[in-house]
Amino acid sequence: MVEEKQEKKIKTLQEDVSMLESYVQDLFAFTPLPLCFVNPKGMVLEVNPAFIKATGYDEYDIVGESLFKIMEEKDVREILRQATEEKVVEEQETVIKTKEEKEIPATVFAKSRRIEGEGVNGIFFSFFNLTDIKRKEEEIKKRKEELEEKVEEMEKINRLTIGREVKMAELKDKIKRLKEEIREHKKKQNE
Amino acid sequence: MPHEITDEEISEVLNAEGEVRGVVFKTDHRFLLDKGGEETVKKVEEELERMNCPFNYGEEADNMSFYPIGVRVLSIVAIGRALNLDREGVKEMGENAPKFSLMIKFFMRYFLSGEKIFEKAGEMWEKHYSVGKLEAVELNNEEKYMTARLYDINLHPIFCDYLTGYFASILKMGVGSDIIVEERTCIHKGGDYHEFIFRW
Repeated sequence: MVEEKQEKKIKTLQEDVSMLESYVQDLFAFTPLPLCFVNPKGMVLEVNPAFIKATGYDEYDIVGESLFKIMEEKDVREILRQATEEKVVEEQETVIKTKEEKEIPATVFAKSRRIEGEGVNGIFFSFFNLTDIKRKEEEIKKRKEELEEKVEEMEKINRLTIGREVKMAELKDKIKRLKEEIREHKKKQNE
Repeated sequence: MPHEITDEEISEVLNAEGEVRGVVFKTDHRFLLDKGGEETVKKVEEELERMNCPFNYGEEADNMSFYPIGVRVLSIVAIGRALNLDREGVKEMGENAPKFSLMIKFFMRYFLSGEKIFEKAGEMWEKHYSVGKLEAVELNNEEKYMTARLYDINLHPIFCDYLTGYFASILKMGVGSDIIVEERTCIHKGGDYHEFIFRW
């Protein structure tokens, strides 16, 4: 009777673990953000489908390998240090190297996972692809330069226009003065 | 050269005492799907059927449930036959398994160093198998090697090849370097136990 009860309890617990596993997997698979879990040495222990899609590395290629494979070693070390010491790293810029050697600008968010009494046992990494933002930034920069050029041209034209108007006013004055001089001269001749 | 297995050996393996957690079949299933999709899974299931060991990876494999240990070995044999794997291929299959194993995920907290893995090796084994005993014997960080012994398990040499890859993959996650592994003593070659040496 006791054994039967224990077996039932174990079965229930097994079912709970399976359900929990499936829930975590679904959540991990659903998120469009590339995620991975690494140990404090930077060895990749788990990746999600978005990570595979973004980097081109499947689980065979990357799980059990170092994160240096996709990021600069110094960036990885710095993020690991910060995440270990400060728990959370936000918006650290880096470059992701894909399997096809393509470089993707990205920001990294990292958070250490701690177990009571054991300390840090791993670090979650998530990446945000900055390609579109960088492209937009470039476009904005280009547009700004174009606008600046146009403004400069307008100012030049403006300066020229104003110069012309001043000159016209000066000429008008001169004509006026000359007319008066002629008038004066004629007047004197008539006298 | 792939391992050969006779009908007599198949029967012995099928009747071997002990159980294994279904997580190993989940990793086999994943390996097959990645290697050749459902068609390959079907091919392997047909091989198992021929060995009087019918098994449906998709429907029957449950991570936490227990199965006869013989199915574990015959699954490797069937995969080896279906994919025409040589000994290195079987080892490679073993190397890939921890990458997808739910049970190994429970132990990831210990994948911090060789020492931690050394400490937990026996426990990891017990979570998977109801027979056999894995004992980490020596760890030398200066000379970068570790030895481990597996006692009381006598199934088939193909399982040893699989385990060399499996253990090496786990150790690599802890030490952060590629592992060269050799089974230097084997029950199938007259030893009293299996002894593996891992160098990095």
